[in-house]
Amino acid sequence: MLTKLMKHELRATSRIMLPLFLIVLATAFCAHFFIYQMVSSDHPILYALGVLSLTAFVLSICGVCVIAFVLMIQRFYRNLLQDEGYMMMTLPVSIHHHIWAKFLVSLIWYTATIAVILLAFFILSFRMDFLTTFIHDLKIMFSFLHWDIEYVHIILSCIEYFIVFALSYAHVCFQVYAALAISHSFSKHKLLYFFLIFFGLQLLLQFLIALLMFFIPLIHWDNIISFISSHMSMYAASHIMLLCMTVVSSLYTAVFYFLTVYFLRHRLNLE
Amino acid sequence: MKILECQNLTKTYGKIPALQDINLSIESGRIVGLLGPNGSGKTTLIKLANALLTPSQGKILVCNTLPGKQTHAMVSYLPERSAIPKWMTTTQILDFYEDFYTDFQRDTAEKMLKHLQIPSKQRLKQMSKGTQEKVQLIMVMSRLAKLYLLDEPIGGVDPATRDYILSTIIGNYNPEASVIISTHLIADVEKILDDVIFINQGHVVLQTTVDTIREEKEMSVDAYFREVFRC
Repeated sequence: MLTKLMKHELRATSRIMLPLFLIVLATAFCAHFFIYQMVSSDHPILYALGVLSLTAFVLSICGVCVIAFVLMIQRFYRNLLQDEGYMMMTLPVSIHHHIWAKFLVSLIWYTATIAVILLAFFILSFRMDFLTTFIHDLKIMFSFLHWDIEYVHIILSCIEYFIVFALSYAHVCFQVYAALAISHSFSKHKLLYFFLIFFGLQLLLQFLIALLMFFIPLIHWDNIISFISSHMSMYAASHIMLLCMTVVSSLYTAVFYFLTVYFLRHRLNLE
Repeated sequence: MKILECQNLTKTYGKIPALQDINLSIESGRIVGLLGPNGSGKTTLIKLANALLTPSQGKILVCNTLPGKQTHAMVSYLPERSAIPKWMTTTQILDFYEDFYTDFQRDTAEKMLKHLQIPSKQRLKQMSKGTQEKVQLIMVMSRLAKLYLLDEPIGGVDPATRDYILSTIIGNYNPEASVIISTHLIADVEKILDDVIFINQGHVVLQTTVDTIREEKEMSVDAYFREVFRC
């Protein structure tokens, strides 16, 4: 059922995101063309077009980032807590699947947005000798690596960084979902409650972190650091650090997730 | 077999009671009218049966099961509001229902949509309100569910559309299933009802058959309703 939910969620969101991606790439092409015309010519019209196209490019980048974030909130709210909720929440599907479908599709679009932005910058800055220079630099970089062990560490680190990135996004998503689910259980002033609860949860998290920091001086960090530096390699230390970040991030993301599940299951208030 | 059963069911919104100590049961194979004035608790009862609300006290059972994911597969629900996303085309709506409901009869739905001359690529937002309601009803009635819960299926549409909706309900529901129609437009639905439940201010006032009302009270259900709920 999760894949079916994701299929329909992708269908619902692609009609907004795909045209936006096309706009970003189109403005990148236009900006690339007009900037080089601007540089090679003193004509004022070409100069103005270059400035305009660059402005359009920047605005399109900002727009796609904002809309990707707003879409994450809007899809959860409209599809589960508004009129469409009468259809969605009566499907033979668990609450967990509903939440995971929304989050995973949102993560896909967030990742795709970053990829499109990188591609757009690549298009904007592309020169004929760019690729050959890039490949040459890559070859030099890899020639310094020992493929047997460092290759594994690099791949592992990439995977770990992606997990931390996904968890950071999950933290924000589930905090928003929890705030929406809790605020929607009230009969009035739902928007006000949403902002109060969202920032309230953020403040609570900051307070708990501050409380934790209070206890940190009590831990003998010097001993821990000297143990790590004498018994572990740089790669192992970085893996442990990323693992710790993953565990901590997972814990408070899980709290927001289960808050969302509880309120959708027991306090749903579709009007 | 009891399709729907309420045992001391109570639902309050804060301090406001919407349903108070409801005890009723509905057998399979019956078309039941859930009749009451505005704010009497009809929609609350239907939402509780769909697990869209949780009881404050007591319990509600659908096919001897608490409402949830399992009962959603057995219950076909037509909400009072238009719940299908407006951007969807007719084909996408058919795909959606076919994906999630194993009892969805796509051929039946397509036949009815063709009869209404609704193009497959037309989006819901491009249709009139009455046509949107018909599309939603067609999807709901094209399922072979055990219980159909229809909340105000004929409110807000013209008389010709009302007749079409009622004929669609009668012509397409699973005969072994039960249909519960919540409405305050009694004169229109009376002709298709087997049983009626009168509900007022969260209490069940009466549960009986249509024939009993006509024989004993010598009046139509609509007339008896007006007498019972006279202001």
